[in-house]
Amino acid sequence: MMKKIFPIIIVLILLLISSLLIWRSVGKHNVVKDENLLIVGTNAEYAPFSFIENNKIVGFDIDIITEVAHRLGKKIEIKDMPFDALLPKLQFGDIQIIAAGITATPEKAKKVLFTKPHLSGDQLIAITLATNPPIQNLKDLDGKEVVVNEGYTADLYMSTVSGPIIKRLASPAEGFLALNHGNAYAFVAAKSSVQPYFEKYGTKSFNIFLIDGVHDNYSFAISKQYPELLPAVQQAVDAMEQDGTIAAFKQKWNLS
Amino acid sequence: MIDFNLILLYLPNLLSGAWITLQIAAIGCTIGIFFGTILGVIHAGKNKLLRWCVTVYVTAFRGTPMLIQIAAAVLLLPQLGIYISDFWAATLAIGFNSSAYISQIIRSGIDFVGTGQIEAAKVLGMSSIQVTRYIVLPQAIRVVLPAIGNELITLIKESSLASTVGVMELSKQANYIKNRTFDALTIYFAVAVFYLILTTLLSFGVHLLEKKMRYHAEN
Repeated sequence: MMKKIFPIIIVLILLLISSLLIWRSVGKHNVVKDENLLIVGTNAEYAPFSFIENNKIVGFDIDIITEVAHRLGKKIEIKDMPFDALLPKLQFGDIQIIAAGITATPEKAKKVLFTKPHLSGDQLIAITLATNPPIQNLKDLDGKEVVVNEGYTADLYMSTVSGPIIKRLASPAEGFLALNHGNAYAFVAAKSSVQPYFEKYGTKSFNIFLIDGVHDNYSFAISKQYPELLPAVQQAVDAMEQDGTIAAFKQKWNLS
Repeated sequence: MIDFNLILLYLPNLLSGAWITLQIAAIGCTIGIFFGTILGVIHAGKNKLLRWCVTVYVTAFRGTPMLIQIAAAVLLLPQLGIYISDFWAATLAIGFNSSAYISQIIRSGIDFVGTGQIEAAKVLGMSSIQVTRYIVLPQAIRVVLPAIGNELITLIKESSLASTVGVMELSKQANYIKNRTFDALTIYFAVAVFYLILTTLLSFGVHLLEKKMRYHAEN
């Protein structure tokens, strides 16, 4: 028995030591050496905030952060990666800021820094097939399978609602796939994140229910390795709010 | 630093994820061994048509990604009028995928048993089912047990693919926690430890079984 347990203990200790070493090295030096560079991480699968068009990463969040970098006199480097990879990269300081339609919560704020929301009031909606009776009340979803996109506000909110069976899938495309194939009864998402789908395929085959009083707000997440970035970015965003730049971007991307 | 308070706070999530992972692995492995053994015996047998069918099956399941097989099971089974939960659809896909690999392991074990023994048993008047059951399989399984143990450990780790269709197994719970706390490193650490415990328990079980079989063979 001892012979069997011994290697496990060694592996566990190695795992612990390596994570400690990684953390110490992270704290000691900034990975980003160039002071004039702003390294932005995004997940370009989330239209209209960040997505790929004609081989370029574009979107509402991308426009704002590009303008922020411009106003701070920095060059910008945008790195596209899966949402899952953004968080450890931010913790390690490989990227300085995430611009990907992220919603701040007090729990997340323990690990990263957040700017104030640059877009708020994005309405949560529940989408069902038009062949089913329209939803009158969230209670209508009790006992039904409901898709949400993993980690987004719809997920965080619906997880607190007891009754529906929550099914967490990665992207809006998978949400509509499950809905259209009868693998789920409803798909709950922020309105702006499903807007591109509706623009393409129309809303005719769906019933849409507005979830009262629940909104999504979007901020930038900044690495704790670069605390000095928070006031600088916040100041630039505030200035853009005042001179109408953000309003213009909202109009450009059809966001209200 | 690794935030142990966070691990403690979300321990119920991790435990329920580990329990689902264990269920997927156990059911998938039962299907894999049962079905894989049948396929392996057929593949090592003489019937050409059946052998060809097994070859097609193995080619299909080994030649396409398990990720696609799981997605196909979840999306296509309801279209065929088979209504099962996502958990079962994913677990069946994993089990049948694993059976393709196990069938080849079993076949190699059967090839290991010499034809001399099989002919001798037939001369003694045993039917071919009896020969397979009492002469070939006991020896073949003893030979291939380490390889099957390996396959099962792979199965535990590959069960994480069920997360893509929404099954709340261990790696999906990890995402769930990560998306709420934004502490990726702590969660990666905790989940690695959990998988390590699961695979170690399994390899310990296989080790015991090997010992027992060796004991039987020697006495």
